[in-house]
Amino acid sequence: MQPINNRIIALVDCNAFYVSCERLFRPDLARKPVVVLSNNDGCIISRSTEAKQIGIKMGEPLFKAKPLIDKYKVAVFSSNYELYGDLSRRVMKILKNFTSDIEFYSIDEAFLDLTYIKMSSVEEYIANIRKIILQWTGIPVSIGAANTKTLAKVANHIAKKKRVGIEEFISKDQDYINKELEKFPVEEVWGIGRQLSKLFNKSNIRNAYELKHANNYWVRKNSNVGVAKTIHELNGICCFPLNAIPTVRKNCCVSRSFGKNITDLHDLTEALVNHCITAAERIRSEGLIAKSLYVFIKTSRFKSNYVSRVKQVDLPLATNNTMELAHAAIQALETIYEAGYNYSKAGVLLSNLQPKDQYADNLFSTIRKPLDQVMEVMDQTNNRFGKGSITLAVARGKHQYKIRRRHSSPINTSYIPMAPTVRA
Amino acid sequence: MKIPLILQKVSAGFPSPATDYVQDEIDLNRELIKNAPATFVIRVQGNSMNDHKIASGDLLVVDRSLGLSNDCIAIINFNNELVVKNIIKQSNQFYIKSRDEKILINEHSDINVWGIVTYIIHATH
Repeated sequence: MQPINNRIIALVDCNAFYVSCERLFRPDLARKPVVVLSNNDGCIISRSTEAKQIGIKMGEPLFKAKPLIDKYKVAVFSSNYELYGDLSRRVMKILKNFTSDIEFYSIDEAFLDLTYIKMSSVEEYIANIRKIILQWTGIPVSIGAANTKTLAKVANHIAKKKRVGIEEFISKDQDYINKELEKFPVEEVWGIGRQLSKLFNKSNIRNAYELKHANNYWVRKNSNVGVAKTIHELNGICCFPLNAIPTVRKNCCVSRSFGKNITDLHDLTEALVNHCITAAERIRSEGLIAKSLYVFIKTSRFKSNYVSRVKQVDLPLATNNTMELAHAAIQALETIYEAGYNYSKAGVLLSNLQPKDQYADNLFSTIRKPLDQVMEVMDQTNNRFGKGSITLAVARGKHQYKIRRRHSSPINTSYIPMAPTVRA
Repeated sequence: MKIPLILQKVSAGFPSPATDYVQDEIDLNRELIKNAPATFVIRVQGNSMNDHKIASGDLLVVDRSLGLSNDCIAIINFNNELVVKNIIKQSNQFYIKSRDEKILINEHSDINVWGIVTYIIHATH
């Protein structure tokens, strides 16, 4: 007898999400190979089906894929996170119309708990979700539904290979599910890493079906509790509930590799201050303040003379004020900077974050009120007139640090000056 | 010696009779956008739609959740390009209508609808 529970968990996953976003206003690319690159145009991080078929690998550096790209005239895009972020928000907003029980798992994935939704057929219901997202946003998604998150992941993999884009295990019998699990390699099971799958392969556990029936005692002895839970999940027992409430983050890191190496302290300061501005904006928008800050700089790992330096600063008063944070970061940078190196990356990490309203006022809070009002005005202005309209003077320099975005689509669906265009 | 200036307004006389009629300010998003996740703002390039009060540079509010209707303005994927067109319905068929021709839209034609234009935003200066 298989233990069965009656949860209905659906995983909605956008197909080749970044590529789908780039295609939205480019119907000419509909059936052509398309790839999207990581920050600084380094590696391939999203591929259309056609790009996969001609043999371009996930995570491959651009220069390695260059021969294939040239041969097949692949369309190449730098990542445009403003566009992807806006389309992701739209997809997630649509999902909220179907249930409030949602875990936003990543920019292009969400788990839905449909257990308490009145519906005549799971298949019809998820097919309808898929249809509406595609029509309203133009983004194709795959949806897998099952009794647990782990099984929903498997169902989603199957959905991806089907033209209809959906798969559900809810109405299927155990034989059907077991056959699918047999075809599913163990290393692709959610939560099973490469290391664990090596161990399993040695013990003749090669697919999800064999893992499902693995000896519980042996598993606990040889791996960890997480895997035991995964096995329960494959058996239809829900062990990983939805984390519907986003956890308050403890850190906020902003770092980038430079478009080209930097040796000069001034240029380095400019880059770092810009990272501070971004990080401070981010935590302000989440109502958080930072108690400490880390600054780090490094040279390329692939060159000789590799250096990597980091400096921690405990702030006298927890803050989310750009000026205070930038000031602390500049001082930290000056203590770790050494001339004569080609720095390739700098970053700032705001840590020990906590909600601002929980922070007790102190003697100095009246002094900082005007400073905080400056930040409010700055955020409002930048929201209205575009990022960087008001910034710090040290942040305005030669922009040597600017990342490479050579192939970026000049489109942002949440910013009118960069609205997409159509011909009339 | 400095004398502090009183900036606070002192209220006197009758309270404003309008306070009972306080309303929110006008929110154009709410007026022009019925279905936010499905609505895009798109800029027009070209003058072929001048007869339909659309000029080059105008912004179009486009709702992807709506379907075609007679005499609507739509964004169409036509020959692998997004274009603005006037669509008409005749004897239960939809056609792209331009000055000198009519093109049938059905599942066999390689034309599909991207979205429906609901508002045109035109600057007068």
